[in-house]
Amino acid sequence: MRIEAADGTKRSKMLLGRWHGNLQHRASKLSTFACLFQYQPYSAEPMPPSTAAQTRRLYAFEVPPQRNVEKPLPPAGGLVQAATTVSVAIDESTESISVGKWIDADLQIDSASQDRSHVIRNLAIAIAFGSDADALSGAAQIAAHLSACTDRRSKDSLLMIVVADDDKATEVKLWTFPQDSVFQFSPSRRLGKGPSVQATEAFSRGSHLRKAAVFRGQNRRTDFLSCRVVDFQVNASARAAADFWIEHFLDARLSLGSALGTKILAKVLRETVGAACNAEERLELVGAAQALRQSNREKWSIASVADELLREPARSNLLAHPVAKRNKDSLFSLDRDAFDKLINFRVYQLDTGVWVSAPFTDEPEGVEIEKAGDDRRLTATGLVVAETVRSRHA
Amino acid sequence: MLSEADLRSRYKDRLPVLEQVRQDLAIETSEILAEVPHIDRISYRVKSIDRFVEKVREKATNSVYNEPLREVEDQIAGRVLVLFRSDLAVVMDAICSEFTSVELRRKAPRTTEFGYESDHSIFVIPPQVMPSTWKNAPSAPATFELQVRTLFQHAWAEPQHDLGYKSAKNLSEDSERELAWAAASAWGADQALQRVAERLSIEPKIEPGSAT
Repeated sequence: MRIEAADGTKRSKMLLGRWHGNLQHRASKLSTFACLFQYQPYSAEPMPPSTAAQTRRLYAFEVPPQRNVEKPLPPAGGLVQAATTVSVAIDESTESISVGKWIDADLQIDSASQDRSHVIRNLAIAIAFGSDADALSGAAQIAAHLSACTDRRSKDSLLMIVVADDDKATEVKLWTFPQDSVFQFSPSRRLGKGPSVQATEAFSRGSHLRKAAVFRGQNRRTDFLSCRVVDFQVNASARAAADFWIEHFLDARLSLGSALGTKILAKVLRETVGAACNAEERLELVGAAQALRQSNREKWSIASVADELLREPARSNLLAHPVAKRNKDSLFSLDRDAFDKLINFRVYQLDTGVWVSAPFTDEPEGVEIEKAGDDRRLTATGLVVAETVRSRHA
Repeated sequence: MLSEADLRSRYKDRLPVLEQVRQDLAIETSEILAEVPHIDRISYRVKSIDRFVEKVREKATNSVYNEPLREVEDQIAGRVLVLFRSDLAVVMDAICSEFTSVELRRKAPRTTEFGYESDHSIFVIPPQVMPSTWKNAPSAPATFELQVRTLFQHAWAEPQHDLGYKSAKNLSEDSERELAWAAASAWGADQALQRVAERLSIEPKIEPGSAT
């Protein structure tokens, strides 16, 4: 693998000069990464005919974690020549993420600026449409920004920036792959020598901590305002991990707002309960609503509710709701208080220690509440269709 | 660049989808503002074919648009009318919490003049109302416009738009002065209403018949 500056301009030479020291130290890790990608030595191999997008630029940087570091080092890296094999591997990484795992995010543009200024947007546009020198500089700045956002307890990561064109638009893909401890195995090649195993570090393409952001568009003011994101840590219990990629690094937010997302989910659940053809299915949906209220997880989509909290046929019926069909993959932060109000989740605690919960309805069927002086007396009648043991009430 | 006939034809084809997005945005805006007081009305419109083509033609001399079907940002535009000036910021904050803004501009005349006043903003069309055929389509709109005004700002802006903006070259000095007077009156009425609203919100209510 060979990392070079994009061109012979003074600026890129200067940047390369600054990186040179780092490159010496980090060469071994980058080589291992190259092995994992089965990277071939540098050659002027032609790009294969592409059925979709054609890679035009590819940058790689080894990014050390340097959050709050007073004098951070610039990450080592630059333009990758002969990027075919790597870009194919990046495409595989992109395609391996199922549709429902992509998150829509909007950049938090400075809306007072005339040119829709935003640190990542400006750099992504420079990388996609700028001169070679500007693109290299933009890529290096994104790497430095990622480094400055990364907590020092993290390991180094590999940032790959791919620019690819198709006949309609240009894509800028930012991928980051975390460093991982791996074994490298070599079978015996010579007589009398056994196989060898080497413990080493590599950047992992399959890691659960890998992240991506993909921008698509042209160089105009209406484009590169939003991106599609891969971040499997978005629901991490540690806030810093959950917010790292979208909020801190990309300076973006989920495209579907919390209030609207919560309303949409409540509406879909409520109407699916209303249309449920039997008590078992209704109970399944009510159980999902209860689970949502009790869950510590912040971010949900309709698809994740269906897939993780429902069995058939309730799952399919929820996803078949006309609103769900269009919105099912949009991730949003669930507002539990608003959700409670929207699904009208009433919970009655009785003096007998019994709890009665009645979601989705103002006047629950079979539940009568009558005034008894200053008190209210509740009577509930109905067939028992399921029984569960829970440590907490609804 | 598309010919005018092609532009007209492609925009016409898009109208039903724009109409669907318009309805969805209107519903969502109403939901966002459901708890916000002093909303007089919320309305959204789809730009007509003639106005769309006219706008593109007007801007053509400055090469503003390379791809007007994408770059004209008020193909769908909404307007929220509020009762008091202090509601403008409240409404905008509520909307910005749910829709992502990329541009917020307060249009106002110079401090020594009276004229058009309105809060204009451009938002990203959110994924839940974005038609699937528009996702990743480079010529589909990605943004929409929203204006927030008080009733008096609107009461001046609409007739002025008709009278003044459309025939700016033909307005006499007297007409311009009268429009400015109307703008000043609308501004003054807004200020007065705001002051009264503020006094009522802080002064204790005087019960009828109580001794003062």
